[in-house]
Amino acid sequence: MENVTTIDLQKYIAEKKETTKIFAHFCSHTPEEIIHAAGILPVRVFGEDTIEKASTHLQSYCCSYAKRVLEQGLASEYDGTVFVHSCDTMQRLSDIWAQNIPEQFHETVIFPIAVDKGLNYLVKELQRFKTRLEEYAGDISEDSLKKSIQIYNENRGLLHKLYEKRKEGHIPAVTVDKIMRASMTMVKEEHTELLNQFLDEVELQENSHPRLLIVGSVVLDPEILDIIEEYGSIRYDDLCVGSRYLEKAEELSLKGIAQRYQRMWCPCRAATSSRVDYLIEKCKEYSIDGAVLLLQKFCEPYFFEAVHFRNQLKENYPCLQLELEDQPSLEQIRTRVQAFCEMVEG
Amino acid sequence: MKKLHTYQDLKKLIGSHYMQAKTAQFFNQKVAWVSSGAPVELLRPFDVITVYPENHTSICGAAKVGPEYCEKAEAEGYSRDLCSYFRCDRGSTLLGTSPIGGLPDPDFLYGCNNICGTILKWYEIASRHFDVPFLFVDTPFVHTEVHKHAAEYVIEQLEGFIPVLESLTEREFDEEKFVKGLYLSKECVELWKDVLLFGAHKPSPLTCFDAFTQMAAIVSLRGTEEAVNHYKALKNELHERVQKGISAVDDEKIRLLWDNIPVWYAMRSLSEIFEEYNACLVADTYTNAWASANIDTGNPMESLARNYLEIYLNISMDLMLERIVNLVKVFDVDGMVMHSNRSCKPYSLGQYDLARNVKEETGIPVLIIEADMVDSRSYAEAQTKTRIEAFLESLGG
Repeated sequence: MENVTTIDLQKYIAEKKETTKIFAHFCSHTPEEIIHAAGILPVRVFGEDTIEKASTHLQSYCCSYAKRVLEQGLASEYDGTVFVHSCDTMQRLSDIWAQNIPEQFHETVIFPIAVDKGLNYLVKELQRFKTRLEEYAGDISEDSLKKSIQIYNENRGLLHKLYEKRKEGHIPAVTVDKIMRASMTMVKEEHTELLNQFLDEVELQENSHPRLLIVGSVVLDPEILDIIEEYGSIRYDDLCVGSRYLEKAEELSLKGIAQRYQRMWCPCRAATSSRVDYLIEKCKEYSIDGAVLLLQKFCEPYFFEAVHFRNQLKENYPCLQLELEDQPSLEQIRTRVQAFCEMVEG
Repeated sequence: MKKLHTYQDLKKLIGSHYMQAKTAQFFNQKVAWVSSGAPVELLRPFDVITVYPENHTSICGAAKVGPEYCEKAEAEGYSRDLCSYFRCDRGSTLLGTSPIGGLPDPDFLYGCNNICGTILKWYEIASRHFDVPFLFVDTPFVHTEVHKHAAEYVIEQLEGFIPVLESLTEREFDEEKFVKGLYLSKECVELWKDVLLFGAHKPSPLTCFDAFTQMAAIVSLRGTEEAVNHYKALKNELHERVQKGISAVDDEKIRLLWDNIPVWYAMRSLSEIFEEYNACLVADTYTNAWASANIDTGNPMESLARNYLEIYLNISMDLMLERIVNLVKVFDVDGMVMHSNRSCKPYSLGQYDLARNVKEETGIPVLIIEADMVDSRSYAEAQTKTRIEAFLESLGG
């Protein structure tokens, strides 16, 4: 059996396609458990590296994540797609996608932005989504939903263990990224098996570099993580394809799934202040020395909160903000990270 | 551009509105900053003075101070890629001034994400800056129809704000006053719709540049007597123009539809290019966004919720297309000009596909120009002019 960090995900998807229906999705808020319970494999799309066709649908001032995933969508065949309402860009991308990519199923789960007030609404919205899905894939029994939530909880519990280990020693961030990507791509039960094996075998590395927190959505070019770790050791992340995914559903029901989102701090949702407080807590918990913001150019939610974030953190935790373009300049990133880490080390 | 004489009345109306806002404290009134798509009718029975940062920044844009104010926000650390209404407003707050002397400090903020997610971030920042409460109305996006649970969610929020507003304003909620305000709002919206419909007349007595200016009252003073009276006067003036055969553009030959927020700092230069080719922008998707209101008096809160859920930027591209196609028909236009506005993603992303769809469904050509609503540093004037001229020539101008 393959290793969780070396598995070729494109090949994996191609093989699964022979026997399973596959839905594309884009966000750590996707209610994957419901899709799983319907016997469909939800696969998170990370996008193509180069952008050609997507530029005829999206303006230059659109973020590269939206462009890259659209590029991939235009070249792939998914059975269906599930968007969730996060930012304005992804909301419009849902429409553009539906108009240009033939598929059997398309749905956008309209998440509340005021997560504190929106719990009842979200439960009903998840119910609406479930009903829509049932029209396509057949009934989802209460038991199968419960079972799926348990399967996701188990996997997330293991991912949590992985993050706990980062407190004690260094695990290359690019390895964690690979595990996260695989978790959002593979059949959960299969990933859980590989992840268990990884956790049994992993050897934590000694590392004296500054302990870093990285903040962002998805790191589209993982080589950036390697560059950062030439000078620092990433111990915690605040990423969609990262720690934000670890939260478990306590109750095995739609309500449980909805409540899970109340504990996920995404900058697209209300209450930036509480989000920053939460991250400061994490900095303490993981003995962080400094924070690196990896912001995708044109990403409004992150750029809006970045100023407050840096202002709140700077007294105790120096911050480096990197703006990532469609094709990031790796040398420039290296120079800035090196200078930053030297400064943090004092 | 032939100025409507009602323009002077509008200037007075908006001027006195801002003046009133600045003296609110002497009359024991509270000032709220309100987003353009927020259900402001809920605030009317509490005698709150409502000011609109979006209206204010459009004034800044038209006065060409956009870049200066935006730079101030950028110096504070805000990315130049963020919405220029936000950057301009932030700059004005930091500088403590503007062409109208700055906005009065808010006692609270009232914003709704039915126009964009930006409002949430913008108002959170203002809320921290002024240390005042932010009443946020979350309006789930509408893909195909307003779902019952979405309407209920909005109603619940609006009802939940009533005790908060009672305590903020030290006034009791008066249901009768609330319903009266809803009626005034509906009347205002209907008058505004009538005003815009004059653009369907051939030749049109107004252009969308008039509408962009005149919209200040429908945005800022919806639900008040003053706004109703103003639009009655405007309607009369337009009627008079039609009677006398006065057209907004001499010898109107080309009729066009505009999409997106205006390029505020280039209103005059743009209007001149179109006039030169006897082209009249007879309608636009932007000001038409305030031209519908269904009020059910038996169920005031629900109709309020539903109206604000279905506003133009909170609906899918399929629903937007329906509305555009309808405008193309009603106003009988020969072409469409889309402003691809780098500050406004919900309005601009999707335009490339919408343009193709509009062409397919109606057969009219579409021109897309790249600009920004307030930040003129992102506007290539000469290049835009050349593109518009080529488009108008192809239309036989």
